[in-house]
Amino acid sequence: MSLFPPSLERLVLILARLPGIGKKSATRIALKLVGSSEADCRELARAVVEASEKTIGCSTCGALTECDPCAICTDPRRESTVICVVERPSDVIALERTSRFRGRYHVLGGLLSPLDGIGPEDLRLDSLVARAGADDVSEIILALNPTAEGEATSLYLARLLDGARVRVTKLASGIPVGGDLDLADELTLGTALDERREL
Amino acid sequence: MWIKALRLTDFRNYGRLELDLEEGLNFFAGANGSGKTSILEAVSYLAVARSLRGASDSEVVRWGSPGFGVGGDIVADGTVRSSTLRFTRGGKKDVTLDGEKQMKLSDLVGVLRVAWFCPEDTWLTKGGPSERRKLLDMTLCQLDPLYLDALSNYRRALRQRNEALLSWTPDEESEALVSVWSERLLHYGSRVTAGRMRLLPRLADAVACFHENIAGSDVLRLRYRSTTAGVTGSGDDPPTEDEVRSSFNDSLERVAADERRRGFTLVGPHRDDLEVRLGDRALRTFGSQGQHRTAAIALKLGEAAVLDSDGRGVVVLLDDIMSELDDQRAASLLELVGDLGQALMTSTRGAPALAAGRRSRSFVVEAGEVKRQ
Repeated sequence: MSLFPPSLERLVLILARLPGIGKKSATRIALKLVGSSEADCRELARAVVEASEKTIGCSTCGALTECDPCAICTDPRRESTVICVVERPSDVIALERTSRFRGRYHVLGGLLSPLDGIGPEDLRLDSLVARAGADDVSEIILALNPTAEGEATSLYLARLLDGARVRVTKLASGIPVGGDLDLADELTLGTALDERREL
Repeated sequence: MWIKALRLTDFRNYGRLELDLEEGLNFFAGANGSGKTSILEAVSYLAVARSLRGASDSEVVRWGSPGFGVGGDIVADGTVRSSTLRFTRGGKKDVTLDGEKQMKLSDLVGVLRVAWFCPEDTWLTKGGPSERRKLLDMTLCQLDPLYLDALSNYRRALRQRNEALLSWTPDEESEALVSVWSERLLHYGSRVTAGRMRLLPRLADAVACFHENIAGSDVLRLRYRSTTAGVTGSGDDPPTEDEVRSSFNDSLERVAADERRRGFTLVGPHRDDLEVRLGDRALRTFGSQGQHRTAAIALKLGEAAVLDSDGRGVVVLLDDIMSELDDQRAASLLELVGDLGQALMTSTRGAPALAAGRRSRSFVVEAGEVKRQ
């Protein structure tokens, strides 16, 4: 038997479906919400609906946007010669925070994983091949997670793009910047050693 | 190294348990099903982030609880490290060391090392190859975080590849998919095989030495039998990762047609075996009950000695071994492992006789409650 009124209980259950939120946090948030003013609650509800209605995937790169094509795809100051391939829209935001990349993006929408039934047809591959074939594109950077699935997908993409006249590169993995060598774990240090480069 | 304090939360039949342990022998007495083995199992989580009893993570969660936690204060190299592992159903396992959350489970490696002895060990030499692979894997995982990473990625890549093989059709796209997983399989698999082959000479020497001490007669030898052509051997001159990779690749090509027809991976470290030979014969096919028991004890003692080879010590977990060994044998085993460091031992019977001067502490376990005696 629940200790909460049914409507509050329902709110807790819905909040607990969100990533990173367990039953305890969901309860805390729900109690805070029912304790706040009706105006605040309506504002939150409106913001949720509005964001979900207005946010769409860019038809060119797949990143989240309100206008299609997105701001990055239409920005004339960004290099159209380099395309960075990522798994999810959130990866675009992570890379944008570095302010180091001035090219464009391509969101795959997942990684190859036969176990989860995700095959090439479930990823945005056709549009990537088409974009890579455009005259001005010279480099494709693969920025996928260094997991079994990420590495397998990278290899698949490298082979897929073999026909296009582009350079295919992969993000380096290694020692964290500002880190201490003797604090780096063996795996990271080992990979850094494997992927060392000439000075 | 030794465990000074152990804390369990919602683990098996324990809601909350805090134990202060002795540096020597810790003896847990209690009826079957009272929760003795669960204490040893919890310790194994602190060493290898999984159950050495072979249970899945959700199986060890206390009924009706959202997850479990195991914590311990581990004394090693003159300092105390506090390590905690938490698991939430449907989620991930998290490791905290000295209050700091770690990025990877493999960050736990080396903080605590354990060797687990149980009655089922006799199957080590009698049964199928999986138990013997587990012996190699659990030893290596505790010594080398890179091995732990390679092994878990290998298992993942293997499952992905098997799934890709299962839905394989004779066309280019299907072949391209299988081939990217073959590459991952080769990448992690050659690390696994090379790691096992590197361990073999050390393990074989230690095992042979213990076996000679216990049995005195024929020499016990270990041989790694690989399904990958060209890497079978006694391991005196272990192949490099690149050499393993190249022969693994050849083997995959050899069985390519067969694999696509049958829908799963036929060669690789997941199908390899550790052959145990007594004199010049394979023990598995001719050994007597007594020979199997002696060989199994020698293998486990060898494992413990290898784990302790840097002198940092190993915690020995002895689960109900007195049911399989008579009092005299159990006493001599206790003496042998006594040199290694701390021991946690369970039994349905009373505490064993100990050599004079050995420190010990006894506990009585009853339906999820542990009382010091």
